Amino acid sequence: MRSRTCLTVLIVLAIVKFLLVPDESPSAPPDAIRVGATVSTTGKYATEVGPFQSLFEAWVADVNQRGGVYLRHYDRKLPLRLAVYDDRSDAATARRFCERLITVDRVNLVFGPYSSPLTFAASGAAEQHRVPFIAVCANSPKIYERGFHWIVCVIDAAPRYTYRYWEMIQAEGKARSVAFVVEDSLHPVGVYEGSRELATRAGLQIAAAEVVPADTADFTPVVLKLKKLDPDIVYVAANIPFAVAFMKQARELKLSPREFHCIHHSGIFRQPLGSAAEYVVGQSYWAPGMRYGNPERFLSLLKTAGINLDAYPWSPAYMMAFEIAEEALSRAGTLDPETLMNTLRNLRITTLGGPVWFAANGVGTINAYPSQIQKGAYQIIWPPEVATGRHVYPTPAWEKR
Amino acid sequence: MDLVSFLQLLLSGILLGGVYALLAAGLALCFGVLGLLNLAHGSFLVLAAYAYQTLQAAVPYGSALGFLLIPCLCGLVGFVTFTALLGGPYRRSPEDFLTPALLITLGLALVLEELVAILWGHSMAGVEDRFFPIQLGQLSLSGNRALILIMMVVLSAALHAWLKHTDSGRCLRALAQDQLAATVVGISPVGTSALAFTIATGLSAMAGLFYVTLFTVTPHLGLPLTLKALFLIVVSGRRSVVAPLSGGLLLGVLETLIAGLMGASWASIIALTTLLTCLCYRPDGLFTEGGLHKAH
Repeated sequence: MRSRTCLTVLIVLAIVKFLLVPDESPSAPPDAIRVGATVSTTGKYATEVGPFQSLFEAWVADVNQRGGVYLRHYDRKLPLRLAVYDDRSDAATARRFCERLITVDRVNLVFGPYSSPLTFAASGAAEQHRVPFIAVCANSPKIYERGFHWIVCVIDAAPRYTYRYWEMIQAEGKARSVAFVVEDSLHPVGVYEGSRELATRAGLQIAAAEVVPADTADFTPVVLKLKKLDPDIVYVAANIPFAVAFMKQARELKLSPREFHCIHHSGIFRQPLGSAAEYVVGQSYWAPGMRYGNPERFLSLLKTAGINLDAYPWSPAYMMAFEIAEEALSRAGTLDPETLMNTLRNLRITTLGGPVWFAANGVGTINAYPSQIQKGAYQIIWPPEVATGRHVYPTPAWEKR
Repeated sequence: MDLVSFLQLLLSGILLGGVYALLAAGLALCFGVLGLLNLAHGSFLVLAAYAYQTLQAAVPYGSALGFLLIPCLCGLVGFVTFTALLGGPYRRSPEDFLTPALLITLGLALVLEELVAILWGHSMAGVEDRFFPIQLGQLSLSGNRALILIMMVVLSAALHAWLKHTDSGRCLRALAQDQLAATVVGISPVGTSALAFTIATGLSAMAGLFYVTLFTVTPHLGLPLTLKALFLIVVSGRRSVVAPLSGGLLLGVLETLIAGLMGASWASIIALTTLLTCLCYRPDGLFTEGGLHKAH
């Protein structure tokens, strides 16, 4: 009778141990590190990140070619295993596939989808299931105001998106006034709100702030107003289609400020504008000639993935996310979610785009650099230690571009 | 507001009207005359825009070649589409043609959208505007938009003349009025309608060539553009091929002047509310008096 009681107690204890203690003994290591992502292969964001599944695949292949990532807890290198789904540029689908990545594919780490609305939805699933989530191109402060523990973001918050530009303007001391032309949608308005404050702090006079519907087909009223005000800088906070349509009409109506700043001036921006794109200042996460991180590896991954940097300017941010993930996994040395998340939150490394660490709310420090289109190429113009070219100010007249 | 600014706004509004009319031209012919709501209208526009971008970049004199070739090729695709997909339902039951036509053209729109996305890899399309701005004293005129407006005036007049003074145009009007009677007197409904659909698709393609020089185009822009064109046709009056030009001009001028006076964020909402209010009093459209049926 006594021996039976002892046996029962032992069995119960064994079951309790099995349930409570995660199976992480070095003797039974996992066979791979599972990473997951949703990519907008179709839908409206496909123009921004459509072929990025190939970029993920190229990165995973590159890591695995070197034997994987060394995790000291298991005392071995583990290969990466990738699961990717097409979120169709839809927030609900992104959330659903994020759930699937966590519950079915059992990933150890999730890379967030493109854009703030999709990341806002998908990150909820990671938080609920307590899985580390690396947001890539999602800088709306609303995502990080929810007090989530399981999220970090590669890039800085939207209001600070162009802070280096204002730093440069203040340091140069040439421009006195700025007029904002703002596309009435989530991201551009967020950037504008931050930039307005930064411009004021930089000592610039705000000549005008025109918030214009995203589908505006004629900018004559705005251009006429700006011609009368004659600001030094016309700052276009807009996505590329809006910025292209505005710049075309600005040239037709001969709006000639000392500088045009379009927050997004990469991708297809130059192609439809031709010479009108020359000397436009905007933001770039990376440009050839920058010396941070491992540019050769990045360019090699782009080549393997068949991705053109000019057409897909967000690719450097994804590279930085890969570098962050690799380093965090390596430093954590385990796949235990809590350890991995804490390592991520305390990480400090230098990536392709510069040094990165994370604020308490998860927002990262990677910020775009002011870049100017000069002879068809992007030149980083600030800060001096990163610059690959000289800031041309004021912009030459339209006919001299 | 000073006189120069007012005139500049007025001029830009008129030119914007030309752009709106251009968007609606192909659909107006299909929907207004043929009674076929072609939901693939915008998708043909997008297809033509991408094809133009590729041709322009790949071949010397690609722009000129594009303007000659692409509308003709798209028209041909339109002819094949009508004969292969729409001719059957049209022949079987002309009265109940609207529903199958809606479904077929919606399906076609989705197929074209995906085809463009696959062929051009989801990238945006945009082409540099080759026309220089025109300077009239203190007023600036977009060369491209001016050309669009001139083309739309000529095109609307040509379509109107075709429908009124040619045999094939008369056949089309007869079909639009009474299909059974038209068939009895020997008019081939499928052949005549296929001709109209071919021209309409060519016009959609032409719109795409100009549109991509003004704005950027994505593979998924087709259906939103179709809806925009449809709105203009409904407001202007669907039974006339000239009405979209008048409607487009009115909408363009209203939008631009309101934006100049009250700010850009008010332009669309006030202009559209004004037009919709007018529509309450003229449910057949604002410019229907001299329409197709009155022309008889």
